[in-house]
Amino acid sequence: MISTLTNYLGYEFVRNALAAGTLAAILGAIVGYFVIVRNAGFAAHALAHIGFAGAAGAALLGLSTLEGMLLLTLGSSLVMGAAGDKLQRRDLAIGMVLSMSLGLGVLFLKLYSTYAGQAKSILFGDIFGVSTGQLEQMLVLSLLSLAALAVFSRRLLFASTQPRLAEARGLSLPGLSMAFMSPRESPCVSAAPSGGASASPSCWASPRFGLAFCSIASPAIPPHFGSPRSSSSST
Amino acid sequence: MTPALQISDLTISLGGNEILSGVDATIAEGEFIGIFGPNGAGKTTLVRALVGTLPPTRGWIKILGRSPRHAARQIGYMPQGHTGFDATALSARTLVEAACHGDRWGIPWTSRSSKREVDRVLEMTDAASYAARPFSVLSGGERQRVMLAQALLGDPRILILDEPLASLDPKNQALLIECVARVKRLTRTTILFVAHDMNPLLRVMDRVLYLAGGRAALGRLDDVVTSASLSKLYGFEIEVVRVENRVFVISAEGNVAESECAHHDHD
Repeated sequence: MISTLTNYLGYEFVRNALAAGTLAAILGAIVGYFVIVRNAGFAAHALAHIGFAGAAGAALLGLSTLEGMLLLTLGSSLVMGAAGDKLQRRDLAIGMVLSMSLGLGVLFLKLYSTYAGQAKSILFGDIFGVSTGQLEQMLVLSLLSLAALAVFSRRLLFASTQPRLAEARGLSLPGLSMAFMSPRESPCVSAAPSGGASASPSCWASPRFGLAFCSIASPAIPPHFGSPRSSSSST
Repeated sequence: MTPALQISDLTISLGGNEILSGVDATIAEGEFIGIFGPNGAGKTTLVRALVGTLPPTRGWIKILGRSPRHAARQIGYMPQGHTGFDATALSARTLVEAACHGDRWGIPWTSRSSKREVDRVLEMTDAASYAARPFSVLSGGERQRVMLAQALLGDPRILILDEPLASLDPKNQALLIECVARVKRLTRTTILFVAHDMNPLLRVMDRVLYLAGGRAALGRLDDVVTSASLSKLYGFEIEVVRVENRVFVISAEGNVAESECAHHDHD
């Protein structure tokens, strides 16, 4: 049993997969907490699919797919954040953007390649295809997101739980919402690394993968996070 | 002494409608003011202007001699309702902790002094015993006492409570009012208490600010809540009826403009 494991760890792609999964799990757990508190699960889901369109579009244009993904998700998260907190209207808008970006992604793929495996690898990804270079990109993105969160998470928690009170204290709700959306897109993106442009097109860990981590990790966070019983260990 | 609150010619238009027009008021420190008026009279609009989230179209507000924005730390604010909490599993205490110095940068770390501060306010409103439970499972009365506790963070000199009695039964209304009265005794805070019905507050408030038709009347209950004064404010005939130490505001057609029944809707 042990020797099988050490055998597996002898392969670079296994080690990379393990590291990539761990990174996504850590980031997903922390960002997922705020996703749940802000009731923004649907938006988080949509971002991954928007990333799919971005990656497919970038591949079509011959650009780095990671950059395409980052650009499009960052852009759309800023727009989502700016759109404000009216939940129902927001859900409607997210639904429309979600289906449009899925459609765009499929269109780009169709134009890019007739190879059907392409769609599958972009949509579902392959965690065993993560290269060391991609792992580094993931690490940088994750650290950037965590650093950003560390700067304003206190304000974010306040604005998420007591929007009107926070507003009265002079916090900008749309500003925080936008600020949060930017680190939030990075778990989706960093969990979906793509290597040197279209050179290794089949090595996408799935956007769904990052999302799965967001949604699996969030309920596991103690509900009394920050209360005296758990604060000694969790904060 | 600087008045706790000065309002001069306050006019606020929202979407072309003048909600408040030329409201004047001066309130001394330590007063307990009840703010009343029919639905749509601009009570919440006034509150939003007082806490600085709605800029006046004309006129000005001074809180302890400063603009609402600059006096933000002196204001304890309890917003109307609390939408969006039903789904969270966060404990009541965590919500109060999030509000404690929530406008600082950094991670939401609760320092030892903040914990003491949170303990203090929760005990003041008798909320400490259930604060570890998730907010979403608390009763309406318990929730309001948590929200009141959070308004007390940082020892504000003015408390602005926007309809804290809404959707509470008479027993919980009395409990909350008792709580506010105790806070006032202990801290000498100025209290602005917005309510739909004035009867539960008759014994605790010093003066009344009555809003109707975009205008306001400020004074003692016996001077403001009279048929003559309210008729002038509403612009049509209003009758004030007193039955066994209770006050009822009735329009001349017989529709109850305001009664002790608190079965109104709020947004």
